[in-house]
Amino acid sequence: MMQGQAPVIYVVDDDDSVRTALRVLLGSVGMQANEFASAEEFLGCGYSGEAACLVLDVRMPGLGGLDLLDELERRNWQIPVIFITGHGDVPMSVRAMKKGAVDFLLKPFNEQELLDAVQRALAADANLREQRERVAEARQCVDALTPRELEVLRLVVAGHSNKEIGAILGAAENTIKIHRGRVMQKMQALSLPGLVRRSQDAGIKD
Amino acid sequence: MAKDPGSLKSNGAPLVASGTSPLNGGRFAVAAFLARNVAVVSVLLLGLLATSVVYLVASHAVEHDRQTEFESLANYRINTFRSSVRAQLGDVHSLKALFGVAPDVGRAEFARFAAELMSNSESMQTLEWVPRVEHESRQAWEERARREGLADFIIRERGLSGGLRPATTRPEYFPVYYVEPVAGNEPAIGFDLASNPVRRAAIERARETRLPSSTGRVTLVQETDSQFGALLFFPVFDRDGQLKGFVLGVLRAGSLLQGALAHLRERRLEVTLFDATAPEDSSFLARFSDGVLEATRGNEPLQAGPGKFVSAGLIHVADREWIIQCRPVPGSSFAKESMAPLLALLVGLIVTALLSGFLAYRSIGDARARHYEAQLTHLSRVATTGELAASLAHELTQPLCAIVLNAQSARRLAGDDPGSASGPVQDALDRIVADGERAGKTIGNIRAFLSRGTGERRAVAIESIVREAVAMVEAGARSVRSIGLQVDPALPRVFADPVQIQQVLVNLALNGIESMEAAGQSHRPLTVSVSRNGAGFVAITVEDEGRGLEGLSDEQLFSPFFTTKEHGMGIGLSLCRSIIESHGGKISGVSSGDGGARFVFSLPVVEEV
Repeated sequence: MMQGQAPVIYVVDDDDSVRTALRVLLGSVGMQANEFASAEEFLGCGYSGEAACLVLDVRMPGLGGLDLLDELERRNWQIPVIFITGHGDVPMSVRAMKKGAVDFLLKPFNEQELLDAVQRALAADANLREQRERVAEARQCVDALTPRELEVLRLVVAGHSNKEIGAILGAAENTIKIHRGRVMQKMQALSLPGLVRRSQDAGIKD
Repeated sequence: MAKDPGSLKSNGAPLVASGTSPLNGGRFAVAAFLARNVAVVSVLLLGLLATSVVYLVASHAVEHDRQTEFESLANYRINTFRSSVRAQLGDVHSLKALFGVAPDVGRAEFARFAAELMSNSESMQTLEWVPRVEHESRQAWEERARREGLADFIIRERGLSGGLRPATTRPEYFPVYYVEPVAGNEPAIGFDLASNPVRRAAIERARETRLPSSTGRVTLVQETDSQFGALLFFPVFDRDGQLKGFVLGVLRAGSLLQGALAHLRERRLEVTLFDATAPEDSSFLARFSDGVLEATRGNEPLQAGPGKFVSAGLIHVADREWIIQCRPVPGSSFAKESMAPLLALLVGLIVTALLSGFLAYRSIGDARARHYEAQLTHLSRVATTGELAASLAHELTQPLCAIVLNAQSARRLAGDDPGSASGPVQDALDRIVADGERAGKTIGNIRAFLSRGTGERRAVAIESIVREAVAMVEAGARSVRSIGLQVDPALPRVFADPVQIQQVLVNLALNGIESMEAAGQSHRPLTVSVSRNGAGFVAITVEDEGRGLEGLSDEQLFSPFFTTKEHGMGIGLSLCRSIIESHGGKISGVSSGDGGARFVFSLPVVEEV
């Protein structure tokens, strides 16, 4: 998906100074920061799945940081979250991490800590994203196969030769060869190992 | 938390130094307790004093009453006996008068007259006529008596062997000639009284003084009852002053006492008769005790000297003096100390003990309430200080965070711009960052210090925590009130720090009580209830009927430094939220239907495996 586009950093904190400082800091390293004064405001921004990272204050008026995590999960907004808090303690950070936070920073924190955390979050996010894209692509390819071709694909991935496949499916070896060529083409695979990897991404292997 | 609220601890340190607790005993605790409980001590002392005074006064009064009663009874006996003796003497005197007036009194006349006299008298044993008989006329007297019917009359004396025998020849005889009553007195008839030294001495005294005389105690010739007796000799003279003889009264001491006193009902006195003229070892005459003639023989000496319960009277019997002495019968109420004053003493002591015990108990109760109050105060001070510092740390952290971030951004931006990047600006920005981080570390240290030791969380029964907190509030609240407690059965355990949860409960409960007091609803109940709240949580509700929350949102209610109280700091509810959130629970407050407030907080339960 939008590979070239720079990721957005969402900053949700009720403290104006902290929010502004974060925006300036992120801006100083060339990142684009979107600020929100509350969790509710952020939920109204209409996130549509682009690469992003959420820097989130734990305690805020109204919906708190931990509550927002629950809400994100319900909406299936997959954004890596970095918690920042003025009075965190160990149990709170443990709960936050359990709920899927990437990092937990105690205010006041060093710029480097934050930037590192953001980098880590974005990297992790990118990985996930790539993974998701690969799977989606593989699925698309598989969806394009005819039922016959899918049967052939399963047997090929299982390690059978064209001859064996022909015997199993009751078809001539040449027919299988033609099917196989079409499968390679539709799956956009250049080699047998590539075909196997793709099938795995699509969840076909066994 | 331990069962005993006295050992309630926070962060491992005792809330109240144990030495200052009145409940812990110790050498100085007693003195301190007394000093603090002037009321108890004064009641104790006053009670003891009053009891002692009552005891002394009562025992004196009782003793006085007993003494008075004894003396009155004794005097009555003495006077009664004295009258009786006088009456006897009067009889003898009357008979003597007869013999003094009439030239010759015949046997029959004597018998009639004597019988007449004795019809009035109960105890006079015998009246006798004892003529003086010269030896020359002895035979004539003996013959006369025989003529008058005493066939074997003869003047006799007691022989050496003890038996009676005819009197040996002497110049004069004093034989018993007439006797009334005759019955029982036969042995005496004819007996020469002068033949016996004791009787002779009395005879001689009477002849010499011409006045009545009495023997000391004697055993009568005719005595069958082993009583002591005394013979009264009343001399009778003729016109020429010659001694004609004696009218004799025979007194038996025991019979005399019995006759005079037996009809009296009061039995608590012992009356003893002594002959005071006799030597000490032969002075005892008879004792009448408890309505019974107790002793008629003995040599018990007269106990001289005044005693508390001794009364005595002197009685003149012819030329002798008798003493009648009254004492309490051993074992009677006179002889024993009265129980009444002792009873008063006992009752007084018991009342004093009960009263001071009650006061002491109440005072200990007060001390316990003060102890609880001190505990609550300390608890809330510790917690409040912590929350205050935590809130300050948070409030300072926000701008500090912005300062550091801004400085770092500035340095980065300045560094990025090749035109302006002068060294001093960069250095200044570095110093800002360094100082900001230093301040942040300080705050972090404070935070770490505050959070240290509060994490003693374990799986605990919520019910016991709530009950203890409620007990603390009930004991420590200024106004007496009971708190309604509703606990669902079979609640799962929660993972919590009991002391912190109790802080929350106490805070909420005291807020509720204050609110009701401010609304003039001191009598209304405060309700605490514990129930399961959906999956994985226990909900604890504290509901009052006070002023309500006046439409305040949770955000306002629980934010630090927000308060509606005149002298409030706005820390209490903020602390509650900190504690509950750090436990993974939630807290909220709403105005309840009928004007009060309802605070609910939840705690995650322990997943039991």
